[in-house]
Amino acid sequence: MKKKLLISFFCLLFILVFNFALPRLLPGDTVLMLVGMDEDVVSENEYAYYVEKTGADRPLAEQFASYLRGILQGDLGYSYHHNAPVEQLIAQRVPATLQIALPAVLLSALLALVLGCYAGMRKGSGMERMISTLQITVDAIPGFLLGLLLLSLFAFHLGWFPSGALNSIVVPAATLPAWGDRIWHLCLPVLTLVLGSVPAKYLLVCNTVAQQMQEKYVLYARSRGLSDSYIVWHHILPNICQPFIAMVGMNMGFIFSGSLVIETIFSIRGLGSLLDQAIRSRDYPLLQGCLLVSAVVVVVANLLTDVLCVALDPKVRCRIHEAE
Amino acid sequence: MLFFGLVVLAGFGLCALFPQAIAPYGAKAMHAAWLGPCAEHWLGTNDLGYDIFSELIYATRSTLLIGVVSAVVSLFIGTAVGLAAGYLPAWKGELLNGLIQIFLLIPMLPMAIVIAAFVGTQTLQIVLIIALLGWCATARTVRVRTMQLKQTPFVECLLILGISKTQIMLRHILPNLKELVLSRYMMTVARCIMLEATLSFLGMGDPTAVTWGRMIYLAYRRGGFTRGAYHWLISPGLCIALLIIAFYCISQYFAQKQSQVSGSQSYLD
Repeated sequence: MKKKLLISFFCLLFILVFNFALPRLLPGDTVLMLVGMDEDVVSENEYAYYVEKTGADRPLAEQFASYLRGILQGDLGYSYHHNAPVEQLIAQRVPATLQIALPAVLLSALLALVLGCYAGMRKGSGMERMISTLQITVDAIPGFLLGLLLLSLFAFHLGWFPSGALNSIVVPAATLPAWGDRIWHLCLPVLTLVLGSVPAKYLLVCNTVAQQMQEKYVLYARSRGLSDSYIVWHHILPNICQPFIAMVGMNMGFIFSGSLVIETIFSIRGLGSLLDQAIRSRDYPLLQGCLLVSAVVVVVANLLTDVLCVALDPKVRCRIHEAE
Repeated sequence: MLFFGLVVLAGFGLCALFPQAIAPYGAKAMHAAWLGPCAEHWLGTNDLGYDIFSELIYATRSTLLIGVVSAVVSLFIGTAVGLAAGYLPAWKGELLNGLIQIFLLIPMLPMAIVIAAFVGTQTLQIVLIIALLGWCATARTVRVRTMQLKQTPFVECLLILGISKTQIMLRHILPNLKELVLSRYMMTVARCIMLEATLSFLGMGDPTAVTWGRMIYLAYRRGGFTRGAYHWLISPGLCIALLIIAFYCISQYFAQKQSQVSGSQSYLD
C-alpha cells in the first residue's frame, strides 16, 4: 500500500514536472507557448503583459516554486483564449464527464463480470466462442465510430433516444421526470463507453474463470454435488475479484479518455468538448490542465480500487499471502 | 485463426506496397462529389470528388507504417526495460518496476494530445509519441516472464558456470521471450493504430498523410455524417477493425505457442 501511494505521488509529480518543462524546454518562444498564442496576433504591448503575467523572465527555479505553490492552491493556470482561470473552466465541465464515465465504469464492470463468468464456465463451447468473437470484434472498432453508428441508428433512424446534450431543451420541473430525462439522454453515450470497455475485462474474467475451473477446489466443490453456477458465484468469484477490481481501476483511465473522445459526438458540454476546443485553438494551459485532471482522476480511481481490494480480500487483509 | 490473420494482413500489405496497381483511380483524381456507391466508384466519392475506395487503398500505407514503426520502437523500449526490471537485483529492478508502474498510470490519450499540441503532428512526431507512451504494458509482461525465467534451473547453471549477467540476459533469457514478445508486438501494433485513429479523429493527425483515422475525421467534420454518406464514414472504420482483428488472430497464435512453452500462465501478472 505504501508503495502504491509512492507510485501515485511520483506519477502526479512526473506530470507536474512534465507540464512545467514542456513549454519551457522546447525550441520556440516560451512566452507564446505558455499562453498558447500565435506570434502574428500578439502586439508588443500584449507580449510584455504576457511576460509579466507568466513570469517567464524570472529564473527557472523561482518559476517552478511559484508554479508548484499555485498548483497546491488549486491554481491550474490561466486560459487566455477563454479569459478565465483553467480550474474554473474545468470545474464547470467535470460533472458532465463524470456523469457519463462513472455509470459506464460500473455498468461495464458488471456486464464483463456476468458475461465473463458465464462464458468462462463453458470455455470451448459454441456459446463461449460466439461471445468471445463478438467481444473481440467490438473491441476492434474505434470507440468514436461506434458512437457515431449508435447515434445514427438509435437517434436518427429509430428515434428512440435523443441525439445529444444532457437535457431536453425544456427540462421537466418535477424532480423525478427531470431525472428520467437525464437518464434518457445518458443512455447512448454510456452505452458507447460500455461497449468499448467491456471486451478487455470480459477476456480477463473469462480466461481466469476457465483457469480456476481446473483447480482442485472446484473439483471438490463439484464432487460435493454443487451446481456449476453455484461454484462460479460462490467459490470462484471471491478468488478472481482481486485482479478484476485492479483491472477496473486501470480501466478507469481508458473510460475517462474514451468519454473525452465521444463527448463531441453527443454534443455534451463536458471536459471532452472543452478539450476539443482547446486542441483547435492550441490553448496550451487548458490542455495541460485537462491532462493533470485526468491523471488525478486515474490515480484516485486506482487508489480507491486498491483500498477496495484490501477490504474485500481476506488474504491481503490478514497479510497471509502478501503478493510478492 | 492464424491463416485468416495472415491473409488479411497480406492483403493490406499489398495495398500498402503497390497502391497504384490496386487503386482504380489516383489518390487525388477529382470526380463528381458526393456520389453514392456505384459501378465506377465502388464506395462512392467524397466532398472533393475523390474516389473513396482509392483513397482507402492509398491510406493503407501511412496507417500501417505508423502502427508498425511505433510498435517496433515501443517494443524495443518495453523489452529492454522489462528485461532489466525483471533481472536486475534489488533496488535497481525495483526502481525500473516503479517506472513501469508510473507510466502505466499516466492517462495515455490526454498525454498524447498535450505532447502533440506542443511538438506538432507530423508523422514522425505522432510515431514517437505513440511509441513513448505504449511501451509499459509490454514491459510489465516481459518483466514477469523474466522473473519466472530467473528462477529456473538453467539460469542457475549459467550463473554457476560463471557467465556474466549481461550475457545471461541477452543471450539466454531474451531468446526465451521470443513468443511472448512477438505476441505482444502484434497487440501493440493494433493498439498503436487505434491510438493514431483516435488522435486523428480529434484533429491531431498529420494533415499531409491521409490515414484511415483521418478519413473518418474528415468524413465527420465535412458533413459526411449529417448527409448520411455512411459509406465514407464506415469503410475506413471497417478497415481499421479488420486490421486489428487480423493482428489479434496472429497474436493469439504466438500467445498459444508461448503458453505451450511455459505451461499455462496467469492472464494477469
